[in-house]
Amino acid sequence: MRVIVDKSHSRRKKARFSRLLRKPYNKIALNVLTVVIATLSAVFIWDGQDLLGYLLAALASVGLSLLLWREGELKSLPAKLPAQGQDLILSKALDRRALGRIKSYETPYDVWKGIEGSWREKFFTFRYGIDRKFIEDNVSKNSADSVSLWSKALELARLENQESITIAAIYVSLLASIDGYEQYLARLHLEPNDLIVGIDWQRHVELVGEKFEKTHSFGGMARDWSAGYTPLLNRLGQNISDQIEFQGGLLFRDNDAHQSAVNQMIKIFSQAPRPNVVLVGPQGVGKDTTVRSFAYKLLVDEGLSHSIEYNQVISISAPAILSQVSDKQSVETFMQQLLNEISQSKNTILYFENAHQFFEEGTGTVNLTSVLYPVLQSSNIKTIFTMTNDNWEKMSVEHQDVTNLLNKIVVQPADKATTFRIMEDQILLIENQQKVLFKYQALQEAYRLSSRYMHGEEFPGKAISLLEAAVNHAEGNKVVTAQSVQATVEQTQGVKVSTAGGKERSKLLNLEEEIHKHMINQDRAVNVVSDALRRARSGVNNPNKPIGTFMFLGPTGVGKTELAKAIGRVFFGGEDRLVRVDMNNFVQASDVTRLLASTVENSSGLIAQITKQPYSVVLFDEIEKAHPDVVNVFLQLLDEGVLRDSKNNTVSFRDAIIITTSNAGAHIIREKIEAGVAVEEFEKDFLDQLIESNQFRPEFLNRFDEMVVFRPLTKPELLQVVDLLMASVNRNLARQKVQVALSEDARHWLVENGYDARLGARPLRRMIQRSVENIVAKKLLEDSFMPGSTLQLTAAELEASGAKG
Amino acid sequence: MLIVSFFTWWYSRGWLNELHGLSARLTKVANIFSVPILLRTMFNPWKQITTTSFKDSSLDEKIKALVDNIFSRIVGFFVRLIALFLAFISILITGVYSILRIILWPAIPLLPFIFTFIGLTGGL
Repeated sequence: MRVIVDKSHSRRKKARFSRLLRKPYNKIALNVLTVVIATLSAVFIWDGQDLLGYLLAALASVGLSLLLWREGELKSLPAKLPAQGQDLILSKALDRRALGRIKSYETPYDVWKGIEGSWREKFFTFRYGIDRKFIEDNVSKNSADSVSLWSKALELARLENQESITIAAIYVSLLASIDGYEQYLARLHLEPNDLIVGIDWQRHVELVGEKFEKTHSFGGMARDWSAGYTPLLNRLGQNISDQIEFQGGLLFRDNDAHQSAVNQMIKIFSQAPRPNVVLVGPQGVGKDTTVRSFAYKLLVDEGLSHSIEYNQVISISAPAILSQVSDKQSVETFMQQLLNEISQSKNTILYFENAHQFFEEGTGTVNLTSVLYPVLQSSNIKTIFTMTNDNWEKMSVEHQDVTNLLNKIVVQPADKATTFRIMEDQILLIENQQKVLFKYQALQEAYRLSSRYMHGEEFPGKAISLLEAAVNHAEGNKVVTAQSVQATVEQTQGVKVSTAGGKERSKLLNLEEEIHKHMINQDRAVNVVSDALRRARSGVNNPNKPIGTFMFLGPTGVGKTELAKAIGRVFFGGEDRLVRVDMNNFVQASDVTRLLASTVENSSGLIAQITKQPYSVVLFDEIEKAHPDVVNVFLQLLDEGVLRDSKNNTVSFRDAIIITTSNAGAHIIREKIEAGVAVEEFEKDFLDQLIESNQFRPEFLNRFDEMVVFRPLTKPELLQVVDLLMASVNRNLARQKVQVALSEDARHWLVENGYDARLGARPLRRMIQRSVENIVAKKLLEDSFMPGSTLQLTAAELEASGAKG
Repeated sequence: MLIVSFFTWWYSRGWLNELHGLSARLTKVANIFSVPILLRTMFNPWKQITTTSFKDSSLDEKIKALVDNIFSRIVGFFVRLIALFLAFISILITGVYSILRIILWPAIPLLPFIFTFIGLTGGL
């Protein structure tokens, strides 16, 4: 394919002249001067100064001709792309605006200078955060590279079904011509395809602007003269058709899912014996948008049946009705009046949003089945209902007679490409209302994070909700970025999704050290857990699994639970981030139901706690005690990071670290250690033995990231545990402004008397309580221990406390 | 070269566009006044203000309902008639304006020459 630059082509000259005439100041000047000169010419001719008057009239005529030419031919200058294999003649194929701007086609750099500063170039610069300097410094200044630039631009125009090579296509092609542009885009968290999507997005933004320049009649002044008055409905309902008419049309592009539902609605209301529709789909799927799309079609589509042409779609809600009347009898009478009004109006389609509110008693809901059923049966008025799948199922059971009368249309969730198109459309509205600007990366992040964290809603609704909320986290210059979206998710979901920085980064790099401030030894366990947390915060873990899944094995009192607590404290920000489930309470098969009880059923259960704070350490203590059916529940949790609660809602554990502890085989560990065998030497055999013993099923154990054997603590380690426990005592005493210190013999005394081979270090805490804390308490009450002083305790004093019992 | 393009467009597609403009303007005015709807609903009751009679209604009530409904249709008819008359006037004005544009269109690029000639020769 040859690229031909025909600078003398008339279309190019017209495009350049058009640009000159359309520059804002020139445009105003031409309009004003033409009018002023024409007026002056009339004045002079009237005044008898014919020569001057007619010469001015001649000048005004030139202005008029230019005006008419500008608004006629020069406004569009349609382009024509070459057929496959034909030469590319730029003067024919380029969009009018591109042709008008680009002076030289010699090198890609010249082309860049031509489009730089145009609105279409700024669109990419600001939406995607692409630095102009990157293009300026790197785009080729070699004329030999021009052919590939134009070939790529033509390919993009064809790919995006454009009628010409637009500035957007040229921009993307210019960027793609730069060596290393993919790496540059990667730094901006973009892929080449994201920019290609931008070509269509930009075209849409332009079309929205053009659409609103045109005026629509939407049926004209006499449209509703044959329709009855609806004063009651006007007071209570929201006229969706009026809203669409007021804003001049719809701002969003049609998509296949909605279009199919809208076509079905038109068919049903035109032909079906029962003029009603129920749109069923999960929350956020776009049921309301579908209704709006339908209302718009009724206003603008030609060739519709007269029975629905220009019909008004008016929505009502149960709370609106309940705000007018309170008791059941009055509500029914009121509703009957409303329905009579609608029936009389002849051009109203009544839209019951969240229709279940009209079929059940409760707060903000009212059961109007007895009023609505006869209306549906008689097909007297046209109705639209929207419901979630759950509510539809419930209705189908409780009000089968009603659901049998309804024409059901299922609205499916949008796929990724459609969700992006809808987000691109919706942010124009949000930007207009909130005076902010969204970066494309914010849209990407909204899609990714809503997919991961917003399980109660479907696409595209959940992504849009997140973008709306992210406006509150817009950066100083009112720009909503990916970070704004991350901050929103962190605030609303209680998870960490932004990149670790500053203090947190340093904490992560020294995590083992931080954890060891709270527990002694068990280096391997501390290391594997720290590694998992680092992987999660740096984003290299599998996002479809929990942060880490671990089984800690070992005797009681060796630090298994303490490690879980330490992680909660050090990494997750507090011990309240530890969700602890004692598996002793789940020994029956029927306990599965209790474990999976939904938030509504048990507000302090596992599901409720993880829903409230998904970013947690979840500790399943003594897993060997749980019933095998309960253990089976964990297979999905460990594998996919999700559980389904009793209401079949998906609950995510993907931001949690899962720790299970078990005392299984504790005696073997103790025996081996007492025999002087190091953990590393017997760990593998021990785990094999554990599998063979059938205490746990192999598929269960295989699902853990790591199984770690905790060994009993040695005496020097126990002395360190005493120090840790004493530090804790002193933290509590800080409020009294006193401190307590132990002599060396006192530390040894505590280890000798507080350590139990069967119970590990756990009795140490009780011993400190009974000895040290009791002594301190008495001294404080006797006023013999003044604020600011440190109490030194010896072994003899501890012995004298009687703590040994 | 540009001036040739201008004249070529003016006396070909530019003039044709004016012809298309005539029908577009007339359609627009007709739609603003809802002419098709007015014609279709000429005898419909005004704003559906009607009285319903039932089988068991008395003769008086039935007659009263009939009179009411006829009255509503008469009101509707006259309001629509007025609207149609206004639409007709508007369409007429728009049509005359558009036809004048079509007629004068070929003369506009010549006006500078004509006015200059008149000015210099003191013509007319």
